[in-house]
Amino acid sequence: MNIKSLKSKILLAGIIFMLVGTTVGLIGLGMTGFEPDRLMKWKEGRWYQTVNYTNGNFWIGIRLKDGRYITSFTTFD
Amino acid sequence: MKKDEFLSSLERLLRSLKREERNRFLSYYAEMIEDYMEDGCEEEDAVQRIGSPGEIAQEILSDRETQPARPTPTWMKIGVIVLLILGSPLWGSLVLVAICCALAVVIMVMSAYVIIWCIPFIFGVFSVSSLVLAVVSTVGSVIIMFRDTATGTVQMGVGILLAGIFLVTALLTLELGKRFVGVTKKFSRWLAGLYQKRRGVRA
Repeated sequence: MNIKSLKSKILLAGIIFMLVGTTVGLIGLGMTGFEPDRLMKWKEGRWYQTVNYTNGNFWIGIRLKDGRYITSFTTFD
Repeated sequence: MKKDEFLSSLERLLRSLKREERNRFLSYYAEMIEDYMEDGCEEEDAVQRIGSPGEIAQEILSDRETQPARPTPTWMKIGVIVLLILGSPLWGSLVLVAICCALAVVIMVMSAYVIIWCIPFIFGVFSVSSLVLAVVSTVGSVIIMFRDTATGTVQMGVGILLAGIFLVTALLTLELGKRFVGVTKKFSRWLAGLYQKRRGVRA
């Protein structure tokens, strides 16, 4: 397998993952009736919860104790 | 050997000397040949009597090498020191300006490299963050799924999405890295070329 075809396969896989991820995420959001307020609230010590919606802010990231983040990708108002 | 040939050969052999010094030797030997010719010698005989240009040049150059360097007189040394001290406000500031300019150039070059590598670096950081977040999100979504299915599903979706982002950004980082290695090489060669050109001008 040459590198060029491997790269195009990786790119295709990436795009497929993104599309599938968006679909799954939307399905999950649909389960709440598209009301993000109904998503589970983040609790101290629940580092494995990377998605949260509080006070109208939607964030994706790893949140440790005292509200510190390792990675925080998005915060929408 | 004709006079012109002799003189041009000698000139070539003495090219390491300063022009005035070389011309002094050339006119001396030209005059000598002319003197022999005035005395009735043929041009070639006159040249032959002087010797070969190689021997003469070797003699001149070896004499020059063995000449001891003229010692600098003490008054001149003192004068130079006094001038250096008196002129220190001028040359000191000029040296400082030169150092600052050199530092500015170094910082500018470093900044250029940082700017060049900023883009692949950002993509690299984004890619690594995506991978970490994708793993934590996907694994964590299974635990959350037992407590709240909707949140777990959203998180799983986010995890898969981030895995996709990781793949795309990792590929982009790799490609950009390669491109920017090329850009860095070109930039470095251009810089080296500038430096070499300047050295060439000085030499």
